[in-house]
Amino acid sequence: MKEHRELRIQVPVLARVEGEGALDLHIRAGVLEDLALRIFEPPRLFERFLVGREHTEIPDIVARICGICPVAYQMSAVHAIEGAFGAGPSSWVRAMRRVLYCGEWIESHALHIHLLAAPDFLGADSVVGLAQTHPAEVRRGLRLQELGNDLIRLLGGRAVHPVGVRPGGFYRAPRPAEVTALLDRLRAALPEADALVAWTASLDLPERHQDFVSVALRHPDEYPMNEGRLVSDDGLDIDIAEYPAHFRERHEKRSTALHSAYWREGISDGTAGRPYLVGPLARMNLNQNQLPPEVIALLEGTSVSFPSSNPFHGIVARALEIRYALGEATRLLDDYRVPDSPAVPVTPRAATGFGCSEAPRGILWHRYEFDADGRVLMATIVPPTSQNQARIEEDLRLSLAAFGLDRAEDELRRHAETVIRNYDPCISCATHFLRLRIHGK
Amino acid sequence: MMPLAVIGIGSPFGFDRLGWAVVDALRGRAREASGGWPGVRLEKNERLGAPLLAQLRSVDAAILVDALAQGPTTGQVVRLDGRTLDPADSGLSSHGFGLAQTLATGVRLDELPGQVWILGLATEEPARPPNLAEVHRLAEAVETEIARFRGTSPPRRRRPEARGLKNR
Repeated sequence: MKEHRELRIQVPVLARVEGEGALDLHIRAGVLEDLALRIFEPPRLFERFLVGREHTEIPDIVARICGICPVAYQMSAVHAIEGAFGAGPSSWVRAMRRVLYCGEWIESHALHIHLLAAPDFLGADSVVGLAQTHPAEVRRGLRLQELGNDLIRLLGGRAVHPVGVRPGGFYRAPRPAEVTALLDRLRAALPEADALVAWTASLDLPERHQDFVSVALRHPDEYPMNEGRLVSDDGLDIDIAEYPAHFRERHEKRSTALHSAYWREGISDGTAGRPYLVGPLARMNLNQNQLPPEVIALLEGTSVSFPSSNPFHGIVARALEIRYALGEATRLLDDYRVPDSPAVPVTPRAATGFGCSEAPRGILWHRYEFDADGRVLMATIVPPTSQNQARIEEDLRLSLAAFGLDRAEDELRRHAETVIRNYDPCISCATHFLRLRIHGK
Repeated sequence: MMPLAVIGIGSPFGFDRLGWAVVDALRGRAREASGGWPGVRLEKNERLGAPLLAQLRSVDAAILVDALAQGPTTGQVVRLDGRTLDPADSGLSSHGFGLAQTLATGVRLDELPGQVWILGLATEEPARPPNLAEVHRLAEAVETEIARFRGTSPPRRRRPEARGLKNR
């Protein structure tokens, strides 16, 4: 009987994701006929807001795009500005930008692992239920999240929409006493992160092995955050300015987020391109050789290894990145000194600049055209969630087929939501400028 | 340990600013009060979840001041017991993890103060900022609650309209 049933599953509002999206599934006679991840949150129009603004205003404006990953928007923006104007940050600025980014990875990943994803793998409806059954783990998640927030506050002035970043560096250098207090807490958190890696690897994660392309930054000397070349595991290796030649955005009627596709001559089909993955799993797949020995040893103590073709190993990659970020921030702050100036001069000129950094959810690409006074003529921002959207839909098709389309409706719905949440989609970030087409008069 | 925290919850936008505006008003009132309000911490919160639980960790009691979604109580000051909110109500929140979920998680982790009261005001126009009369009305209700905690009487105040202040 089940082979002949027709099932329409609608999840009108996806829970435990940032922003507003929905999922429609249509299964007929054991075949998934239609699947649509609909993002219906209103477009945010930020790229248009930026036109005409001074380059000095950009970091504070783009920080408003996301309450969870404002640092990523600021970092991609300041690198694009400095690239356009030929300014290079000092070694102090470069180090403190990494510290700031560590804070964002810690808070965002800790939030996702404990409050959003873990309930799916431990049979809880939400973190409220998880707090009942796994209070020690939830407390750990809250502590790590707060530590990440405090690291952002150290350099950004506040944790949500920080205001400390400017082109060339920072508005203020923290006092040594502030840094010392945080260093003690960072060191104290290292064992918690060690336990977190082991815990995520021990979760009963679905066994899924899928063929997908991972895309991330790669830097010759370090695990990537702010700088590097764009690489993929099928051989792409390009300067960030070449991004539009290989990654294309298109509008789908069902979504206010643009869909991105990856295209390489001789590899991709036609001009449509193919889905690709960005984010912690893609970073880990492409950069695990840049992890310090103590983090590699932690990973080797688990049953998980990278590169991995299982999308659900993303939660383990997040835990490893939390451990890496705690160690990296400790290393960089251990040698802290107050600089002569917290910023280098930036002199505007008519130019185009590119920035690409590793947001918690994956590469965040910016492009700005400036006039001679440093005012924005045009801005393009490609967030990670719009890049992952096609990959999420592809994963849903494969995962639901592997899970079994003859399952009960509520089981299918829950599994589909688990697949989506595994990517930690930030729908608010992804909503984009809609192209308006007017027919006739 | 601080006996009481008054925490304004919100953001800089629209009616959501109400909680912050009330805390600003209360800071002014605390400065005017003879001897201030010892033992009362006046703070703002910009993100629920872990940051709010951290703010609640070191106090005996808390009053959370918040803008409420439109409902049958629009225009009235509402007082709710924060320890008994239904976590199934996700409200208007990031990641579906709002005030009710934060407080319910805190209860289950035994990390909430013994008393948590929510004082709020609802509007039918969430895009507009709160006006002076609304800020005054809610600040007065919170000040009365603070006086109850401190075992004192709240001062008698004139409404802002009566002092010649116009609504925005």
